Amino acid sequence: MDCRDCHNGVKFAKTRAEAHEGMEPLPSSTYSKSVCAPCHKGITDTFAKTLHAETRGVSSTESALVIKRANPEGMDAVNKGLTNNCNTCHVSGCGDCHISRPQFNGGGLVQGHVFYKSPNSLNNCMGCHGSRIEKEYTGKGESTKTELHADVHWSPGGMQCTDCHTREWMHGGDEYDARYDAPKAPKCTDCHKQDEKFLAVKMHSQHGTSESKTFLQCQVCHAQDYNNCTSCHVALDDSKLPYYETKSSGFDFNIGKNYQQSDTKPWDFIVVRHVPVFEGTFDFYGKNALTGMAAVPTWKYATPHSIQRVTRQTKNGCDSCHGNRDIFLTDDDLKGLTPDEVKANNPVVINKIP
Amino acid sequence: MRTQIRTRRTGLILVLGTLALASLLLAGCGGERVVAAEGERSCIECHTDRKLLKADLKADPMPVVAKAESEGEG
Repeated sequence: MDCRDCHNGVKFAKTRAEAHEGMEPLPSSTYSKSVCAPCHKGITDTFAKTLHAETRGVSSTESALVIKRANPEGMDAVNKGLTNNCNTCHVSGCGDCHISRPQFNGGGLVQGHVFYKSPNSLNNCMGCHGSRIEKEYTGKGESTKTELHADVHWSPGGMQCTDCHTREWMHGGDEYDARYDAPKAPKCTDCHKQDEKFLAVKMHSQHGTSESKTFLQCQVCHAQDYNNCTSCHVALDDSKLPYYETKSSGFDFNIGKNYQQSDTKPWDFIVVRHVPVFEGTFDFYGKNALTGMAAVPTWKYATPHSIQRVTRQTKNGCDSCHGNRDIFLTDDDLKGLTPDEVKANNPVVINKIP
Repeated sequence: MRTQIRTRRTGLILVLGTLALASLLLAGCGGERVVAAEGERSCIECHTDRKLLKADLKADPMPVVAKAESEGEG
């Protein structure tokens, strides 16, 4: 294939401007109407509707989760924030995974102009998923409470993101608004079967199956501390360019009650991560835009990519966890929050330390 | 006998000639220039010549894409 088969432009020219007339720098951005479609039609059609392409659950003015917290009178402010700020981080086409770094992260070819089948974990995936996933998975995070190591699947496991987040899942086909609702989302049990060897470990038989008296999410024992963020403002600067300010973030670990038990999330206790939304997130666009902070917890179900066999929850056996107030989400962790946010997290907070 | 050989040879020449012409047409050589004129360059010539690219960018820098500074984790 010639350059112009994808990028258009002019075949022979004397100047850059002349050569680039009609040139399309991102020819994969239109998915089903793109140059990729004739050969990869099945994928371009389904990928266009994925969360990577549309970021619906985060930024759609119809289905973003934050709308549940919105003041009905403040929807204009919320919509402006979603459109100007939250909507900027979707992928810009197939090329963002298969040719270059994501445009959101500044672009740039990864292996010259080679098309690679498997996205590069560091340059593609973690190019966008940096503040939580990259730091947790590669062990770049820091906690005041424990020494952190890379996720064991990364080192020494050598597993790339696509080893779990497979192309069948990533290319779409199922429709859902939130990533944890994906039918093909990876699960620990995809590889780690709950067989005799699994049950031979006392803790696994005690807490690791649906028959256990208290059933724990795998990460409750095996996740190291992970990143939590607070108070994100979104705004436009004097040049009308979007930016955000997150007040603080830090690595910590908290176990909470599973406030959304279901067939796919059957556990009694889960790890929870603080999300950066707060009542003033959209203040730039309009005050009191999020008066419904009580509607949805801000300590949310999480799947930290910080797995180790031995963590501060397991290193000293049962006593690492039982009676250890610090690793549970308690009233102590809600100090300083608004009454609405405290109320929102009531279903998650552990009132009595096991 | 000689007529048959002549006929078959003519037929073979016609077939081979048709195939050659068809491959030229399919290669796009039918209506498009294949050689750059004086002072012209192709996409690949520029984009694989580092010296040329650097000189071109120095003479005519790409516009800077303005981006606001954000603070904290994203």
